[in-house]
Amino acid sequence: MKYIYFFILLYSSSFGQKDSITINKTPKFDAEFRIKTFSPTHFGNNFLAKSNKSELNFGLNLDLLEYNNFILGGGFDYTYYSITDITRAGDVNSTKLKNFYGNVSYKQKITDKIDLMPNIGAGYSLITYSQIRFGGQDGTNFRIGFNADYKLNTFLCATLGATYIYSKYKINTSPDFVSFYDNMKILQISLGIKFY
Amino acid sequence: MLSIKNIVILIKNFIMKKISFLIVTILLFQSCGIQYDGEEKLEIVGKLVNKEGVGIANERVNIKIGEGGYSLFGGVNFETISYGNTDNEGKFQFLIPSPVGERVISVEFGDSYNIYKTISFKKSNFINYKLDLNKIISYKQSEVTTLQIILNSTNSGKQIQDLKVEGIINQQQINLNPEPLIDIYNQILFYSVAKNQNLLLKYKIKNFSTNTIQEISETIAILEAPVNFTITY
Repeated sequence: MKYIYFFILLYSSSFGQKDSITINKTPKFDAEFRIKTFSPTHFGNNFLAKSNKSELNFGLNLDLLEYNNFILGGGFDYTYYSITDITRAGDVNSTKLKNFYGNVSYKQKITDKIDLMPNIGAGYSLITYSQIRFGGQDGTNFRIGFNADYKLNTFLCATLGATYIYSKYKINTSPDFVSFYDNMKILQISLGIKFY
Repeated sequence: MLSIKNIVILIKNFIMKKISFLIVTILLFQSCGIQYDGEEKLEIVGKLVNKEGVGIANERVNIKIGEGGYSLFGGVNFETISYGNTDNEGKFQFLIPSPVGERVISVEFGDSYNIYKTISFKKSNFINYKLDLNKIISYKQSEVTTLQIILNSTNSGKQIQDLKVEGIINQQQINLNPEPLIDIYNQILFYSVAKNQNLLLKYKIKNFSTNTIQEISETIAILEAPVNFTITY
């Protein structure tokens, strides 16, 4: 919960700085593309936190439509895990987490070179394993976070971000283990580049 | 004469055929093997104990799923879906992805010290996605011997029925869904039994000519050596 409070506070402080908002009267198509890698930290007593170890992470994000500094976009995150506890996962070799999402960002100019973009979003989440025959778990993900973009030149930014993701999955299992498999909580610290 | 354009088309077609073959091969391999439901997890718990009832720590446990076919050596093919060891108290707990369909699930224990043992069951044995196997007694090789019961039929008008051996039996293969026992006739039955005990052998002899049933109980003394016991009827 402390992370959620942190992001709400971050949002509040961003909206408070009205003097630096650039108002666009009409929606504007403005494609900006991020590619990033991230370090996920898992919370709680759940499957990803206790039975897996993340090995490879990358994400793509596209900002598409801008209106009054609000930006509509979407993206995809992929995390590859090795199994650390076979007694909970089965002998399935590896776990793959795929998150597809849409999000709304708010562009807050901090300096000429730095933009802060708090964002909130939701989407589809899927857990699969090393082979299709091991099946998968469908779910829904909700996310809140921010990106800080540092302009390197006229078309490229370095981008640093933090996103808290809560996912809820379908599961049928013994009552003692429903909460172990039906939710995941992840804080992703990301680093990447943005083309704008 | 082949023009450059035709050569390019030929190369393109060749590459496309190779790619198609590769995709088909990958799909075929992906669809082979047991299918699982990733949104369903089955819990299997139990405790492995010795003959005194003390938990056996750090014993290997394998969870296997029957593939439905038969191996070259006659047994059912199994795929290992999970494995691990018992804890310090001999307890074990596994969560496995649920196989699609009603397949045989098997838990295997044993090493060179303790006798190999399997318990077989199906998804229908689970209650609320959980199966508690309770206490499973595992014997050391040195604690058991064999009892061989030979059924020697001398009269085709008689049949052995409801044969039971009561005592400390080391059931190496337990099936929670046993097949109904068909009539036994001129067979040799093998049992793994604890040493130094008296077993009670119970059976019925049905006489078809008189339509009578004779109930018989016999005691078999088991010491250290393997025992052969013949029932002549």
